[in-house]
Amino acid sequence: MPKIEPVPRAARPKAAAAPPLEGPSRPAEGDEQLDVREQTYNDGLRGQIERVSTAVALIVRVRAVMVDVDLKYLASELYAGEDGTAADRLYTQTAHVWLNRHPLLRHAEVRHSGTGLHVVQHVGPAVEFQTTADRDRWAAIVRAVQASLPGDPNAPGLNVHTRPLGSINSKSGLPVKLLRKGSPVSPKAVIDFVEDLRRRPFATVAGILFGTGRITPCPVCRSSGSSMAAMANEGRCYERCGKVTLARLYGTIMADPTAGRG
Amino acid sequence: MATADHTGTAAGVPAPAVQIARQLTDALHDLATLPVPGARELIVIRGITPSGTFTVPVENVVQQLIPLLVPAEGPPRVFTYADSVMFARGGTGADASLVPVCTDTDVTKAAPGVLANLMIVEQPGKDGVVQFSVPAKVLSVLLNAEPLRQALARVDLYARRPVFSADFTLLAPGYHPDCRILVHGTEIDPVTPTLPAGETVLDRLPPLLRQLLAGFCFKTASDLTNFVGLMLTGLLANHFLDGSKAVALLDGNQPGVGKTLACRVFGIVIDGEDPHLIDYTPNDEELRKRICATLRSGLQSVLVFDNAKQASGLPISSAVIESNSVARNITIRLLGTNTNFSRPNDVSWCITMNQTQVSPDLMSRGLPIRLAYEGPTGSRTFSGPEPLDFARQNRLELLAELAGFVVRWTQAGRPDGVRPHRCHRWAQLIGGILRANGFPDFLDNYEAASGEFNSDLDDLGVLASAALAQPNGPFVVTTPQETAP
Repeated sequence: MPKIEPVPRAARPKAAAAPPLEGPSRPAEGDEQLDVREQTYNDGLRGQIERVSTAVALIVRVRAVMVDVDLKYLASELYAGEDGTAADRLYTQTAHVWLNRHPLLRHAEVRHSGTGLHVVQHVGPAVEFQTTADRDRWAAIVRAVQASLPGDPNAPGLNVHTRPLGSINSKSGLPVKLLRKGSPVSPKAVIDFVEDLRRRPFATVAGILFGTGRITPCPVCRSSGSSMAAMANEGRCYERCGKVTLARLYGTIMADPTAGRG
Repeated sequence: MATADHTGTAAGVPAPAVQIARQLTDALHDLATLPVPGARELIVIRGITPSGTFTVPVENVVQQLIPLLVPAEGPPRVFTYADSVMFARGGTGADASLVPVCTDTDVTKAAPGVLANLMIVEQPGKDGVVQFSVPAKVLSVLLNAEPLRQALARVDLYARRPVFSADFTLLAPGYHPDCRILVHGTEIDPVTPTLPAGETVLDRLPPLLRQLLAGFCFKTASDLTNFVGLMLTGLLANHFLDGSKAVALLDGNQPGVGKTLACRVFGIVIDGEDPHLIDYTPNDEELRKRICATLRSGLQSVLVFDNAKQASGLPISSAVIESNSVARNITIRLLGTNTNFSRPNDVSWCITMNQTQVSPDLMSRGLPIRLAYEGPTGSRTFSGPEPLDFARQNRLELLAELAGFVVRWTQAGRPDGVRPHRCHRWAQLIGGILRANGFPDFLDNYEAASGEFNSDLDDLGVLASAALAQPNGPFVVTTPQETAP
């Protein structure tokens, strides 16, 4: 795990009061940039979390789907080395490859959040909810897209926030920066992606994380000469593992941050 | 509807990996069970098994249903109509219709499927929630539950055209709870300009009615006026629910003069449907079945008994027609069941015949409309447009012209008709409307037609002829005294 130097609490700048929310607010300057959040829904408001946070029931529009890739949940081999921050290395060594492998995720914007990565897939035009059923449906779509990458399993779904570029993450004291410019995709493209996940969940996820229909060696057992066939609903290792579930597939690249704690 | 669980935990798999896999599976499961775009929001009932057993108190389900079937806002879709419970299918437009789901006390075969447009039952199953239509056994309990039946919106009159309320306000399509009228169809705007001046009745009709009726060979001007009166009777059927309206007697001097065609045109204009013709039979039981079969469709309010005749030359006399045409409700026992079909008498009764006589009772309630053509009818062609197509294509405009008659009559202070008739109120109203619109000859043909149709008067005529054939009596010839001018 990378060592993230926390800013000593006493040294942290005090969060200033957020400006009144009359339409989308601009990124504040100076101290006001500390821990600012940006809605991926409704009007995309920016401000302190307590000002922009919105109950799911009040969300009427989705502007982007965001996957919060938190390093604490990932195997350290995904961001090995010493160059730059761990999040930089995760992007350059691993995450950009995941994204490039899929025609939808290729359009995602990637932000260095200060501690991890925010993969932000903008949706254009924004999806307007006409009914409660629309919102429920998109809540499930967002959760499915989020789970197609090894993100934070505890992250919010529809009401998730990203950090605006240039804002400061108080945990690391680092500014949020752009690692990869993205472009919006149509709502239909998102729905098609989720439909693909529905039809072939294992094959789709394996395709993003490992790239091919037959992965050599098997990512689970890593035995010499082994391989795993990524089928629609499960993987099949003919060397040692036999049936490979989605959880086991994710398990090859994820870590338990609580493991080893007394 | 549940999707397979692909998470499959195993020893050594980090908890976040299990969580994220489960998140994906759950999200995909939710997507499979959530309503897709365009899916309707159906009423979900709980506490019922597919076999029709209640797992909660029946009364709880009844009380749960009442506010759902009788919404505080928005139009209801389930109604009571006569002795039946009906489901309104397809909004309120021209394609909408009423489908019976419970006739008297019997749930119809179509009821579970039809009501699945509105409500379904949900129950937890082994692989998730299962949904199914309300079993017929359950519907029988629910639709006969007195609290529910009493709470349902009641329809006193169902029409497939805009109708005039009791105070002659034109009611648009939809349910009108104050007068309990349900209208399915398209809104019309009455055509109210002053009618053209003209010597003949035809010339004085509004343009589309004139075109529609131009080719028919009505025997006299009064016969044409009476036909317009028949169309107004159909338009205002809800004003004669007590049965106080005449039975149209369409008589031709020979077959093929257009009596049936006129009735079909009438049906198309009033209901938007080419009426199913009922073959007249002197067998009342059979006639009753035919009437029931025709009215059960719910689409037709014009009953046409076609080509009525008696093989023995006896007058047309049908207890079924005579009793039901004046009844407040038409009630006929359903074939093979112990239940009745019942509906309000909002029906226009028409009998077509060729120089046939009717019973005095039928004649006294009759609206005589005679058609006559000299020469072979086979070679006769309509000079104007083909009437059926014209009626279909211009139905709303024709209804608007008929509604214009009512509006002008209201503007003129709603004068009464002056011509007496056994159906007194009907004659006053229809006669008044026609008179106010410049058609005073409504029912003027009644005496002449009575002489032709009424079997009693015909017997008297035979007797008189026989007597006159005896040169020496038994009669006395007198010369009427001239009265001073």
